Amino acid sequence: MSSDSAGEFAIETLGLTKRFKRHGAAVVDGLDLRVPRGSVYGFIGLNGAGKSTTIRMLMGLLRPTSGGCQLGSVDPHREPVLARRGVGYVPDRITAYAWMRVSKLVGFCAAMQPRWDSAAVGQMLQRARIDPAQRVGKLSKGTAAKLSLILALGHDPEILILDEPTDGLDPIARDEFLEHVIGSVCDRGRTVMMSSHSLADVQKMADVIGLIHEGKMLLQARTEELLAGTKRIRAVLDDVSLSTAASAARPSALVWSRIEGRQWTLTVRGSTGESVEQVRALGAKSIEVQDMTLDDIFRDVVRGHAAGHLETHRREAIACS
Amino acid sequence: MFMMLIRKDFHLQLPVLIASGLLFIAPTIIYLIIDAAISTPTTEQEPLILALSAMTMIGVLIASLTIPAFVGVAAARERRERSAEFLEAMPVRRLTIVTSRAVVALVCSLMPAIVGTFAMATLMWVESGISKGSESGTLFPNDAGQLFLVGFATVLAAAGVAWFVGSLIRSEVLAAALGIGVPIAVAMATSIAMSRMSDEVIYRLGIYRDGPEAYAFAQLAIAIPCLIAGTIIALRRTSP
Repeated sequence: MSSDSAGEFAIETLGLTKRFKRHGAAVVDGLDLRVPRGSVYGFIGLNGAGKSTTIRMLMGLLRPTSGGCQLGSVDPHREPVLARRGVGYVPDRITAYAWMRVSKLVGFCAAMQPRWDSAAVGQMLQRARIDPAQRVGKLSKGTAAKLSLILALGHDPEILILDEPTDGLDPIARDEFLEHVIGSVCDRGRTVMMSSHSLADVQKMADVIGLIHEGKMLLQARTEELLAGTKRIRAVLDDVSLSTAASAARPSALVWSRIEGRQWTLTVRGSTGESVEQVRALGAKSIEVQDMTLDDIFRDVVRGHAAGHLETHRREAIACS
Repeated sequence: MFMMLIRKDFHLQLPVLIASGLLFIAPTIIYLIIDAAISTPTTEQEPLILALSAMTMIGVLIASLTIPAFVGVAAARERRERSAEFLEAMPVRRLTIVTSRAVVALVCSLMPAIVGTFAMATLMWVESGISKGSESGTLFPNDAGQLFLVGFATVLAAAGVAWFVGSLIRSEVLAAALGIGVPIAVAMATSIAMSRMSDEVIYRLGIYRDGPEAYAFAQLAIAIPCLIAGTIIALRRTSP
């Protein structure tokens, strides 16, 4: 890993790979991930794509089979204690001691973290309306998630890593949680890496998106560039007989394509105008170009990868970041 | 930091500590209940102390069965509950975490031994007073020291197996069960091996057929590798 990149990226992985003996295949396969300093990075992917495994390797909780990673300028596997001093970690569900009272747990964390800010934690607990006398195991899921976030922020970390933190939360609890995260980012300008299945949340919050699929990074791009550059083209073919030619067509920026009767739907990224011309040249009419949400893009990129449309496009997308 | 970890580890051991305490006092309570029910209360202090000391010794032996549970809890419980992940995401060295667990398990395991030593001392003291002038001899065999060695080696083997298994799997119950089962199996295997060995082999090994040395050696041969391997795994584990 290049040392000159340490200033630009808060989190960086190079060829990060993890194989579990029982699985055989790599769960994370040569992952190159770059999280710019001060950004919110949305780490998305299907269940089992390798998000949590990647995050656990970043936290030094799992040792990579090959490749490496850095948090700031620190390798979490060589200097785990130093790396964890600068990172706040929120797992998918609170893993702290359920039998402890909130106040005891806060005291416990304070003893473990040299840079613990008790006053700030007290304020955050008050703002989140968390009773310090309550047992951790008795907290509602939303409150436990907020507590987990507060504990992760207690030592004022440079980097905040959230592993599906809003999973299973109701919409109100989720909004409250995300407000806390946004508040923390705005207050401190820290780097946030957040994996989530809620793509609407990621679209709202993330500056950069990384899409992992089957352990590989399919797409890594700035959110606004991704949303602005990825379009859905809906076209109607003149004749059903043209569908064979259309399905074989590979417009230069194709992500995914589907033909149903005379209806041809394509998702393209990059040169939309060029793609529209190519579609028109194949005898399509009523061509309509639509904006897409992150949710739509995610689905089409994954489908496109499965259909083999994406391979050449992937490198370009990664280069975009 | 270390004291906070120690307090946390003691709290994790509380259920086993309570179970151990109950097992320890159970024989004494049962004895007192039976004594009160079937006979008139004795006015002689010495036989009562003797009986209570003996019951305490039995209590200690039963409570010793919880030693693998202490060790199993120390090694596996936090990983089963996933709180190990919480702890290891903090800037704490794994050596500190493992040392705290080991110290607490050791202290908890030593409790029956300390109580047992006091009970044994009391028993010996009272028994020596009673047997003065008597020709019935002492309750304690001459090779009590050797028996103590076997007992110590067996307890160490139980703790070692529980530590090793607990560092591999996330079930403290299974770790404790194997901690009890494996030393028993080792003792039985040693007994069978000793009975089948020819006198010549026994002589060459420099042991007695009915002596405790082979049993102690067999248990130590299990205990030491298990303790070392368990510690290495706990320190070098790739996931909490």
